[in-house]
Amino acid sequence: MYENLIQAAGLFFTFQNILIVLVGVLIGAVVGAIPGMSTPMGVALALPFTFTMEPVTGILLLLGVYKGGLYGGSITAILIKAPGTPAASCTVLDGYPLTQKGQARKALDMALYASCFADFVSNMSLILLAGMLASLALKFGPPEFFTLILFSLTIIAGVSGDNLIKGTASACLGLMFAVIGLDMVYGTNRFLFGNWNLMGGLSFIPVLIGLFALPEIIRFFANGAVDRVKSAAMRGGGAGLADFKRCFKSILRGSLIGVGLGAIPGIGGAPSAFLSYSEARRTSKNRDNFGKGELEGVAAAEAGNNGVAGATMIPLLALGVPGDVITAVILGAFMIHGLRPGPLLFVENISLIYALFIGIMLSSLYLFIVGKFTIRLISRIAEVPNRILYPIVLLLCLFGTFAINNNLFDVLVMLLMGCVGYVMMLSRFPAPPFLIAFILGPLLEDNFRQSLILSDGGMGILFRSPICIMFWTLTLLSAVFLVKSRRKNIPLST
Amino acid sequence: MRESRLIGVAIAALGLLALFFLIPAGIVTPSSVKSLVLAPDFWPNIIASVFVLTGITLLIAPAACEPQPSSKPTDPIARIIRLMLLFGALFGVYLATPRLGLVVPTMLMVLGLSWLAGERRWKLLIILSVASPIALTAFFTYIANVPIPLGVFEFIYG
Repeated sequence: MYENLIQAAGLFFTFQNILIVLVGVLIGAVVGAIPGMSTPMGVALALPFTFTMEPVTGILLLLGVYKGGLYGGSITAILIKAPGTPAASCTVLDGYPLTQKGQARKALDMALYASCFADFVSNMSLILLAGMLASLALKFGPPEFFTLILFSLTIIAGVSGDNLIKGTASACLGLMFAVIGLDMVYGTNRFLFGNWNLMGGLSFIPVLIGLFALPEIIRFFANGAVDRVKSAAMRGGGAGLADFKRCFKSILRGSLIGVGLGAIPGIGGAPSAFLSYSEARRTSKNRDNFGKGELEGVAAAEAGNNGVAGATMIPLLALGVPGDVITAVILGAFMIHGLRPGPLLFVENISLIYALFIGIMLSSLYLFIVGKFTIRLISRIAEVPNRILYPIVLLLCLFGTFAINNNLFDVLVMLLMGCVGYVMMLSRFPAPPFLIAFILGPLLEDNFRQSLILSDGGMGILFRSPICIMFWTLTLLSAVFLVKSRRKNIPLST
Repeated sequence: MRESRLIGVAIAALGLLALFFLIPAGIVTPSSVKSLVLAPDFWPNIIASVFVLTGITLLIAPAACEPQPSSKPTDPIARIIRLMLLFGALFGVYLATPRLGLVVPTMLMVLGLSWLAGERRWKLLIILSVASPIALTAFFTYIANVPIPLGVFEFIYG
């Protein structure tokens, strides 16, 4: 173990890695703070820049963007009542009233402290639990992986927004697009229609950028230019240690709720933030002040929201299944760098895992630094008008997509996927189920067919072990829980 | 409700198109396949069938998935014109790149789209449209070692 740690330290402690986590957090905080730019969009745009980096460096950049994005969403939620991310919508409830009372600085400080603490707790849970889960997963064969991936596809219910049927249709479309290419068993053509560029299947990045970056920009141009409102001034004094102590119970509870919900695929930051908020309100002495500008409300919402950040990485690193849409993108990044997250990565490349853990812990510290010292700058950058910002984002999309394989065909795929994404947006079909199904589809099919090859076509193999039965049961329970939470109108992550 | 039903019909039709035309025409199934569930078209058929089912569900239960009204009504003609200009710019870059490289078409794209979006400060427009593609080209060419097609700027490598 010590040898691995030393190797990991050698792998991580380079000037480039130490800087890249900071850059990632900064980019994420800016992207998260801009209404209309989402964290998955930020991660998608950053992805092409990681191609030539070492795997650790590239993945840490994306993780930094992820963590920064979660926090950045709260800045505009507090200042202009426009949450940068769905999970930050809970922060609006008390953050904006505090701004109206002239206590914006205090709200932003508390959001930062709660975010950093929750992020730290979440990272610790990742470090402690991922290895244990991975050692269990070493016993998995294709049937176990098939049932596990099927279970993780219940994420789709969590990211379908307000319409599960449309989410399912979107996922079917993603699964169908993932089929394009050569058949993995027989090597025959599937949906090539004479276009040999499709032999290797659709590249992940053009699909990702097309679905997540382009539709918002197309909508902006279609609706005519409307620029954002300016941020309110950051008035008032900051939050101090006494404020932190007063809210500590809610912050700790929110962090643990975030860890618990974040580790379950498909739940995400928004339900965690709302659950943490409602628990804080239920138990607080100032419960009557919640919704009118209560600092504890901001702390609870942000702790719940950021508590998921490290925990969503647990199923990704240990089992190779993403916990939400951003970790699905990060899974794609691992694959682009020739790595396959899962139990075998813990055996074959443990030093890389430890190096990632070091970087993730550092990101909590950077989150604090970025939040404390650059918040004024970030809120200014977030005011850059869309008429300037979106053409530049389009430029990044074009260059980034071309750079994957030096192939213009990828640019065409990205543009066509942008059209598909825009049509989906207009018809209110959620894009995250498409992407998750697109990533998990080949794994699901591969393990399904491998299982059936092992059993000579017998379906009984899919129920062969207690692990398979456990995942079938979890799939059912997860589906029931997600449908029930939908009926109770708990907002799920998108 | 009507819109939701139309979407349901479109999904079901697309699923049926996949089941009866796209899959038979686009997937080659070798004669040596022993088991139906191992055939290359088994999985796509399952997906297409679920797709048809979701379409039918939307058709018969549209109220549960009725779309919310759009928050900002816009002039449909102006909307179509703006969309055509946007797609013209994007696909124009794609078509022009083999001849002109990626730099010049993207410069024109940034200039045109920023103007279309309402930016009227010409100095800023020109600086932005020239500097940003050059900065990205420099990054990908010299730092990431990705040969961006330079087209008319090919002489730089001369």
